Amino acid sequence: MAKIEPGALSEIVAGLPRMNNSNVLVGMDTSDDAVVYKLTDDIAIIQTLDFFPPPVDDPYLFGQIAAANSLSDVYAMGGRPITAMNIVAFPLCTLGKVALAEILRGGAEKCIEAGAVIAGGHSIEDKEPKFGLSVTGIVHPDKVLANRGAKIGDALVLTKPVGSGMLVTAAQAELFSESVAIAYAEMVRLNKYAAEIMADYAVHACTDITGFGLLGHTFELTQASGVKMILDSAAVPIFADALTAAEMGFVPAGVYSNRQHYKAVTFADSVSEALRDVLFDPQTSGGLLIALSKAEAVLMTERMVAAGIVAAVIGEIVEIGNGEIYVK
Amino acid sequence: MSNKLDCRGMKCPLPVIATKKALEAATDAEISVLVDNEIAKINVLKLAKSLGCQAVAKQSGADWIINIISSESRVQSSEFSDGNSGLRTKNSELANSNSGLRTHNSELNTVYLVTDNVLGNGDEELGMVLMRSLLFTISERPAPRALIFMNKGVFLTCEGSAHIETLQKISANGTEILSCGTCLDYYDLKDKLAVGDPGNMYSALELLEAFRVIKI
Repeated sequence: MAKIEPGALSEIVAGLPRMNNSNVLVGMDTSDDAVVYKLTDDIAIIQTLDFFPPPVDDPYLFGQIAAANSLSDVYAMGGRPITAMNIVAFPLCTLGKVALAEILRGGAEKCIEAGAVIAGGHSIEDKEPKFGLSVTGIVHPDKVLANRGAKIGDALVLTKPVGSGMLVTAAQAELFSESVAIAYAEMVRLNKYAAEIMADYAVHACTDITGFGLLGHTFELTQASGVKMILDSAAVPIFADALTAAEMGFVPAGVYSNRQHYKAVTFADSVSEALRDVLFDPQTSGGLLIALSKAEAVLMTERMVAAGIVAAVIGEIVEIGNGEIYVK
Repeated sequence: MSNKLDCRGMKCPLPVIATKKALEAATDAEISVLVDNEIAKINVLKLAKSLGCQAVAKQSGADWIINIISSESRVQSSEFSDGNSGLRTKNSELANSNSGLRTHNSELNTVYLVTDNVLGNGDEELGMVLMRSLLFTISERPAPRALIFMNKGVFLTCEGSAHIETLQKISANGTEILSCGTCLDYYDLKDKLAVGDPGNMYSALELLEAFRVIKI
């Protein structure tokens, strides 16, 4: 939604001092979603935070989506969330207490569903509302999942459809209300359920799909893993009407900056402009992207689909490389 | 006559919404839209194209002027809000899904789900003969909505199958031929698909839920 564009961000971050600590299992150098810090041989903590302005008008829905999105980073690292704190910016005078209470209720309910304790937070007055969570999770140090680790021959599995950014944008013109409602339902859905199934398989790498779009986050994974992949655009689940919204120009600005930035992505001529846009569409609370052996991927995807998750095998790691993605 | 629309200072997607409203309400043959950033320009051009209008953008200082000529298709664009235009709205969700499904006026709302390369559980050779007979008969009758091939069924749609010609005929009659992408992957047939398109569980389920299903 409101992510700082990837090009600018990597430039800014590149100038920061490096901190080396052998207890840091996953840090900033591979564009991961969270920091993972080893406490003992059995426990590492995962720390993450995320917040953004409302992509939707309904405050309760906003609270749910923002919380599901913040919690997702912990699931993407292979962990489970244990505590969370609210991050709130809100114009109390203009929007009122009820709306803020609804946002917080949405967030709290998602934390309860996730099995995490929500304990306070921090709020400031601001013209534009913003909400999210700082989340702490735990994971066994040997079971940490990250962008790096995908192997040649692995399949990539995506666990939610993409194109919600287009639909949220088109919703401002009151278009596609049925498809928009389906997209909201997916944005509210915790990645917990996909993560629980994923835990039964030998996963090599994992991330979640947010502001850099499916292809941006896929690249973060392939680059960190030092591999090349072929992504099958026909296999990617896409929300109904998202392509139409893209054709009509309901294209978030993030699509253009993502397409500009991720030069390692190339397309077959047959992939339409609208489809390219959708594959770079910034997602809020998007699905997990999971790399694992092909045979395991088929089995895992079947179980996810049976559990009501819109999961699909969308591509294959083909050889060693620098993260190149060919979209056919 | 020209209708001017100043969308400077508007955040995405407001210029697109304003232009769409103006095009739907316009009695003028031409609308010119003023925007102050390139993304708004591109998005307004996309909208014009999707509504079947001609559009040209010119840079003017830091701004862009987009001239949109709404041809006869403007009638369509106003119908669009009623959901009746050629644009795909909720009634043709299937056409929007990633599977590249086409909408067409199939007489039969039937979908065949084929999960094996032979028909039935008995003798393999008999099963092959029966499958040939089934596909041939389908090709001679009114076109069903779709044939979905899963698991070993995908061997029927790939190189080496004895049924490619029959399936091409079924496809030419307007039937969607969809082969499960996961299965193609699994059997290493990805580059061997000879008829129809690859699909996924999502597109398959949309069809299975929406139509009368006959499982083979």
